[in-house]
Amino acid sequence: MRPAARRFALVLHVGASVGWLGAVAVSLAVGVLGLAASDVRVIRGAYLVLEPLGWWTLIPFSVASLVTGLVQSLGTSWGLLRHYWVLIKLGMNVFATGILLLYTQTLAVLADTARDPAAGPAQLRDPSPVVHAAGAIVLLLVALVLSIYKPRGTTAWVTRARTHAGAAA
Amino acid sequence: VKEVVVPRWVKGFVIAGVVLVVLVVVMLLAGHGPGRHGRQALSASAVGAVGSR
Repeated sequence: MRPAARRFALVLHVGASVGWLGAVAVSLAVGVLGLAASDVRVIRGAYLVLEPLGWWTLIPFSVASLVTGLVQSLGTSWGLLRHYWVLIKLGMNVFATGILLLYTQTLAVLADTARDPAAGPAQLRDPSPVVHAAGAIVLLLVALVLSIYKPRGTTAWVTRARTHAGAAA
Repeated sequence: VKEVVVPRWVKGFVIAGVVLVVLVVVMLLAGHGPGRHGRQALSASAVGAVGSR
């Protein structure tokens, strides 16, 4: 990739990843509101909001982060499989996006419960969104640390390529 | 042949990752899968609504 395109791809990747972290933070806040509020309308509202929040912000940002990360790694000298930190970040991103896609079913059930007028606070409250959002924040912060520190270590593919290059020379 | 040295931090990440994946699989197999949350509450409220009629 040319330097200008590389910088633009980096802007997109950082933007998508920061957006994802922000959306997860909002999910955590709404989840805590659902658990802590005493007014049943507020609790109901919190679980109703979580479903569109997942579809309209969490999933778009997570997929965008994954796609832009792939473009960023494949289009630069970092490569996708050369460095452990890139490979681990890829694994973490795929894992988090997969869990998030599965979790939309839970968000749908929580929203259905919130739409049920017979459901009271005890039936509405669920710690699951808080637990999942907190886990996602930890995962995304670890990914952020990996991105900034870029710890050393190249994979076996690089070592083999260097060995073959050395043998050929 | 040059030996491949895996850094210690990578081993830590791999162990944590394996533990996490095993935990998710166990939870899925134990019935804590997606969509489970609130379903009991919903069905309980439906039972309550029917029971109150």
